[in-house]
Amino acid sequence: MDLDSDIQMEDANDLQQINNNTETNTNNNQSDEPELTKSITNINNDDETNTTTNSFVTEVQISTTNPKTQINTLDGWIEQLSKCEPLSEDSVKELCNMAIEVLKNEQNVQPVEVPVTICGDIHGQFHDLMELFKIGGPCPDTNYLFMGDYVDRGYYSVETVSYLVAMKVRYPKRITILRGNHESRQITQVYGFYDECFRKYGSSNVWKIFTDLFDYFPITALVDNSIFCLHGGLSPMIETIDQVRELNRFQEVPHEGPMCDLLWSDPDDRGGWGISPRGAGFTFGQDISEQFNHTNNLSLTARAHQLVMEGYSWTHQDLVVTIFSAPNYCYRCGNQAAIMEVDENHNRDFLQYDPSIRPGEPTVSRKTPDYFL
Amino acid sequence: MDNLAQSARLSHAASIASRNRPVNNNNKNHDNNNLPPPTVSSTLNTTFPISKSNIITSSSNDSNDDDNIITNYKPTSSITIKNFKIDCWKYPILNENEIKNFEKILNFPIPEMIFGNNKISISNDDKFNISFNALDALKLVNHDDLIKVSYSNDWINNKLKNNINNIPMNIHNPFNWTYETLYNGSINSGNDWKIDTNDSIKIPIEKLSINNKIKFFIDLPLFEDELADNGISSLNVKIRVMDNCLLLLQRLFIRVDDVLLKIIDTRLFIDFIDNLIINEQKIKFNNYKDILNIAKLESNNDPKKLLRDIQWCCDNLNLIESKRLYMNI
Repeated sequence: MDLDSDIQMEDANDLQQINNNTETNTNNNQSDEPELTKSITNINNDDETNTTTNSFVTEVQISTTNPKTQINTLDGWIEQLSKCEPLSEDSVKELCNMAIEVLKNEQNVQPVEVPVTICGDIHGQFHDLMELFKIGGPCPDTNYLFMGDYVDRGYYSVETVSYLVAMKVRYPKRITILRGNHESRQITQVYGFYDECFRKYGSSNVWKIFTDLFDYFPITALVDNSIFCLHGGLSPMIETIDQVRELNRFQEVPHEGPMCDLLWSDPDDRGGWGISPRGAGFTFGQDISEQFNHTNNLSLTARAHQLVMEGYSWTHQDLVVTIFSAPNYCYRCGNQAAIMEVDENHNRDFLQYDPSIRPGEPTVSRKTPDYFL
Repeated sequence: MDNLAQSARLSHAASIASRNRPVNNNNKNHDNNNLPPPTVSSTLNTTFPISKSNIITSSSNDSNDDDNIITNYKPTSSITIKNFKIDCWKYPILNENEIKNFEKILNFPIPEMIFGNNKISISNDDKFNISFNALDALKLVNHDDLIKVSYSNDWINNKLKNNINNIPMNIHNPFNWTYETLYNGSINSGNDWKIDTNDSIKIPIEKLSINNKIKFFIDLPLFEDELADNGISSLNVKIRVMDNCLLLLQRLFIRVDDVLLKIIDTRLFIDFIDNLIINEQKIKFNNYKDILNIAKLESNNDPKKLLRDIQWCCDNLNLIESKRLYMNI
């Protein structure tokens, strides 16, 4: 990856700060020696899995408290993850500790500058995420804002969320990762992330580490005071963006209340506030979007959360846009994905893309004849 | 629902189809010019029934969106065995315009993943034609006994309590968001079903054994909705065609977390030699709690995992209703 030297400086400073904090937080970081031995023991234990051996060798460098080495470590993790190889449990733990130090200082309404590329749901479709970075340009050359739902449904939730978190820690000013309704303990137990962690690590530890981290994710972002970005939609209990700033977000996504609404609600053709026919959850009409955008001096609300065939979809007469960045969702929908580029002059451009074709990955036509009855 | 109602449904679908056929034929002839001959015969027969409201609202020149939906698409795979021709359409989910067309026809929000261009059609010359598609399935969604998610009462009560600004809140146009439907195919010609009242007609398992080689197989989703992460509703149809017979299984799987599980299986069996057609529907159901208790006996660690396994559910849910229709052509 082509690195801009001034970015490295900026991020190195951040990391130095992180590092001081992690040092006090983690007790297995006392010296280089024990960690080194530990990693080597791991190699011996996990010998049967051929691909992991290499990865553990790179991870030997982790433990040092020197920020420069830490950048190397992060780069090593990112490189490993970019090959779709999951990190070891210890590395995940260390990564998430670093991430907490970054994310806890972010705001409920995280300010983001233009230019930025805004992305919707990914849902564990790791190879399509790599395609996204090809289409949108590599991070950190391009700034990214992701609006949640990194995990569940796709087969590579672990690699996807690990990669994005690693990028966040490595380039904290260049990438923003918001929380989606799937970044929650309860939902991930039903829709795949829990099972995947169990399958890949043999225990639920990694799931626990990540879901604990999710509590720190910011819930909304504000791009240049003009585009309000969040996963779901508006809430009847939120009239101003300042009210979002007052929420305590450091918790599991609640079943109700403003934080829940921001991650769950959907725009609707009908005006006013509506209750979903399912008996829980809100829908908001165009009048609500008009009022909210007007009150808060916004040009646009950008959200994700809903599958759309073209990858993006305008609603409420261009006051709200839905962005969905998982092409061929669940490996069978055949939908396009999209990301929205916003340049320095607030010009918007949608980039659409199709799924990346990977050998061995399930495709639409994977079904073999079965003697069903 | 009793057998009479069932047979009424089938004939109702057929009568709607035949009622509409003259309306559609004019448009169709244009659309079919590019299609290969077998498709022409197939599409002519596979008229989408149009709901009354749509007939009234659509003006003559703004013709049937309803109809163009499938005529624009060619079958993606076909096979003809004996006198039976099987055509399959396998396409991505609907785009924005197509969704609008569907919602105009149906008048309720359609499932999140809507494979409205997918279809299986089986025909025997003019004598018989049946197809399976999402639009017709959704037309038969029953909106009478609506259920709510498990935490709905708490949620609504809390909202009412905390509604400081007294914002009016209503459930707009309630509809059956689980998309439960007793759809068992759209009969477009040859609607001569007899009800198997004394359980004398059975799908012959021996003809469906592994020794009878599969010549053609396809598995298509028709729709799927994750119920805003409260479970799943999915309608799927698959078919296998052998030398002397075919079996089609359309399966509707509904799981509403902490509320219920339901499977509605529709099997269509056709014997090419005897020209016997059997249409069998089985409804299986359990309360969530009951089926979870059964799952706990098998898996202490993660019983809910079994509730996501459709085959396990199919093997363990209670059969609550079963009916069989048949005809000879």
